[in-house]
Amino acid sequence: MAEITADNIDAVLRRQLDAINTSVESREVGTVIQIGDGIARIDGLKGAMAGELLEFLGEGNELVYGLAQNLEEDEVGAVLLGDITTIKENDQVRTTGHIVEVPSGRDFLGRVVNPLGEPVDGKGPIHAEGSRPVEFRAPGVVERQGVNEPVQMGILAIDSMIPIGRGQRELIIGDRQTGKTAIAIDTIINSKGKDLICIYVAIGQKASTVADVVETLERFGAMEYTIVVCASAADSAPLQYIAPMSGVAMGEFFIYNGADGEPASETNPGRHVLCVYDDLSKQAVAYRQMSLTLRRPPGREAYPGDVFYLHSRLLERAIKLSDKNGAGSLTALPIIETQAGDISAYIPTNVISITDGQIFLQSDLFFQGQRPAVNVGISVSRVGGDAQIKAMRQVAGSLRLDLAAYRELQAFSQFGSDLDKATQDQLNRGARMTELLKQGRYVPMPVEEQVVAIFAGNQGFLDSLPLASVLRFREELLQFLRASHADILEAIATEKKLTDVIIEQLKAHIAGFKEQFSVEE
Amino acid sequence: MKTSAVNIRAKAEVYARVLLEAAQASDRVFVLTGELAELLATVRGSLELRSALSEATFPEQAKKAIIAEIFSDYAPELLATFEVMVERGDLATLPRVCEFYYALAEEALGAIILDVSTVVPLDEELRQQIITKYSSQLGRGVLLREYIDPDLIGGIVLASHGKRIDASVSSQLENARQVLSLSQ
Repeated sequence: MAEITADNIDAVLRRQLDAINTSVESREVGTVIQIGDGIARIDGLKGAMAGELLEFLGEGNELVYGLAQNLEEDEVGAVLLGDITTIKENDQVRTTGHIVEVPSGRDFLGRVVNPLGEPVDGKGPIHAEGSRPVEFRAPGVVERQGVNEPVQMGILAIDSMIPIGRGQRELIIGDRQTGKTAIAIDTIINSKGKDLICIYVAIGQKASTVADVVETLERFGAMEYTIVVCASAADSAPLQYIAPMSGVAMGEFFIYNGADGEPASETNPGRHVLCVYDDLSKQAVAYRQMSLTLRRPPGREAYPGDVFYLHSRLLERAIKLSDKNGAGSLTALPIIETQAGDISAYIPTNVISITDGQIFLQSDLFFQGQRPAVNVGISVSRVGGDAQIKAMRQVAGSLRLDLAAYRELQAFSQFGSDLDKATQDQLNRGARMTELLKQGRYVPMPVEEQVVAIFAGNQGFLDSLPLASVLRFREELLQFLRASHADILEAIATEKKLTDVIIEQLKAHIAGFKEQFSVEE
Repeated sequence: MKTSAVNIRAKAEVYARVLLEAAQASDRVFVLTGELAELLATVRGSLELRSALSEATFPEQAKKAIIAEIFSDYAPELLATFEVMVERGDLATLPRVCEFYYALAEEALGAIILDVSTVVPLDEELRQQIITKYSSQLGRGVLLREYIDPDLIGGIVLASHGKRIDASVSSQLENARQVLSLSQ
């Protein structure tokens, strides 16, 4: 809030008094005929628009906002976004003429807000630079361009085999407790200094879980470029329903405006935004509750018929804008929780078909110690390959196929122990590469270090090492290069490809390090 | 088979037409528009009343006694129509009956009904001003239904056909309160 001093009191007063509208207002009014379960049925309001913001005049003239949902011949069904206990039958409802909007702006960075954009972190009011509609029609083909820049999630298994580009929609899917949120949080942490604004939308989660996430982001200095939108399990279904749309609306402010807050253009580039929706299954459940109480016909798994459209229109707002429009991007990382690995349930199949690929996390891999528990066999990124840097393509181009061949051989080799040398070598390499892809939480890896790690594996430097020493070898090798040969890491980062010179130098350095590496610790 | 919404509308139209004919006979068409609106608000505002009147096992005589007790001041033709609605379990048609009756009454009266709320009673001059202004704007005669509402503090509120023009002091103060509480 702007501080009022003796110098500016005159200007502040004038501004505030000018904002007061003393003109006569003409509105359409209706009457509440039924209220309950966060839903109101309203008589009248024949001119209400779908999705229009409604004002309910409750007890003591308290204003409660609602969202017009069902427009019927004689009545309107609306969901309430505020305290429903103040509303009763016969209360007055007014149309507002505009749809729900959320405040947005640069001051939202570092803050935790509810889906209406109100701060919930106790750090005082937020100065909004504008507002964005919660429901917004995604830009068309002309305003877009293909995905061509990488996000760099900082996770070896993902950046090497399931690369994600800025403007892509990549689903993170898996059972409970398989590390879905961890991948999203790692990505946010790794975005530091990469001109990527992050928005984490928590839907239907425990408030304590969200507090943990915020605490983690603060600990790693990631909150300064992050907005957390929180609709916890205690919030009403309508708030949980609009939370992802609110999050993306706040993100859109940054892609359509440059760093100076002015509209993005060819000369004033838009920003890059990453939106994590954690998770859309809970949003679908909230929408199902709303729809059933609004008496909409239930469909498969009792979800309403338009639940596909709910998610498709949300994810369609992920975008890579054309250069003419400022080249900003909004990357969407929706999360879906499956039950017992069942990806053929309604919501998972819907979101899989909408997104540009999925990162599939599996419980059994998680408990085998393969973390992140990404099943690289069925995980895919449909457009991210174009956004991968050349150096990564050079080292990881065949990694996916090699690992697939390894898994096939591994299954086959369980039937007998009499294997030829080539097969044994392949199994040996596969086991080490799989081990190499393991990574702890909150330790994102820069892309140049990822390239070096995979390069070392591809070149066979790990083949003679015991499996248990692979991770230590990787860590110590990277430490060694950072300390003694930082120039080569820098060369990979700047040139973005492995030239013959770099390859020769890398081989020499890794061989040199391996000689001094002690297998026994 | 007709849907329930269509049924409700058909029934409501019958009730409204009968009520209008009875009102025309007793020359109370305009008075009944106000009484019908009040009756609807009373029924909507009380869950107990709605439950009692729509409970099938509750004796008809008891329902009639309730209606007579609560709505004793209302025109007899309105009470008679309402009793039939309750007896036949058509309470849900009441909002639509109001709607149809309004339309039919305005047609019969050749005028638009305008609800006017003020803090003090309208004087004759202001009444004529409102009638002249809105008659010329709407191209039809205007009949005023006047209400006194001290909560408005001052000014005037006009409402008709679900549209409301609010020039009251209370809403302007509320607007100012909102602007000041949200301003940075």
